Amino acid sequence: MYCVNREILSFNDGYSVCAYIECQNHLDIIITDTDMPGMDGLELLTAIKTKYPQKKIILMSESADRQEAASRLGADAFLTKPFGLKDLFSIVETFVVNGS
Amino acid sequence: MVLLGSSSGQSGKMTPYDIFIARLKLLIIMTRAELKSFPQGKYRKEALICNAEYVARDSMNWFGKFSASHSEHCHNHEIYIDYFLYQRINLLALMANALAEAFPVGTFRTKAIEDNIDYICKKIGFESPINPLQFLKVA
Repeated sequence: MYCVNREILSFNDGYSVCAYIECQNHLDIIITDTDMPGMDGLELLTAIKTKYPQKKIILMSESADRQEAASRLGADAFLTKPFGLKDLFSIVETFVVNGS
Repeated sequence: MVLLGSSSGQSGKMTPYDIFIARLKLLIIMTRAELKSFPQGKYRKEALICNAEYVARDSMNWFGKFSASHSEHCHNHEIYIDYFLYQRINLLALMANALAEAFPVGTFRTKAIEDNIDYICKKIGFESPINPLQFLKVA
């Protein structure tokens, strides 16, 4: 049985996400922009997938050119901006309802 | 890899207005879910209250302005947030908050909330489909 009542945490940068996962390994799905200060989304994807391949990582970007790199590095989904609410519900359906 | 969002030829930035409209639509859907007594759970309740507060606060920025929303895959739909729509959005935010807090709502108040949602949906060109979102019935 799935659960859509999930806690959502926000982080300022990729380093904080990595540090959090190291201490409390209970993030199931990570949604990150490709363009972030410090560690960018693709670097974060690599860092997490190397150590925790089972974690679902969704990249979002205003540049569709990043799709190829995201796919190569093992992203589970790529969300091209601008996106709508139905795309977010598709994520819930794909990774929470069907992916449980 | 699952591909979602705009097609590559239509990619671009999301504006603050896109985000406001997406949040308003989410508020409509979650309020409808509340009216249908979908179970919410602790985090969803918090998210509904937080989103209602955000929409009420941010609606002030768009009051009296024409803006084109690009949030639904670049379907340019120009929305004018006039005085009545602004007030109705604020009322929706208030009622969503009350529903999330489990304040009692009778038949007439439920009808008033539904009518208000219908008015907003018509104004912003949103169909507010709740039936495809039956998976939200689980908390």
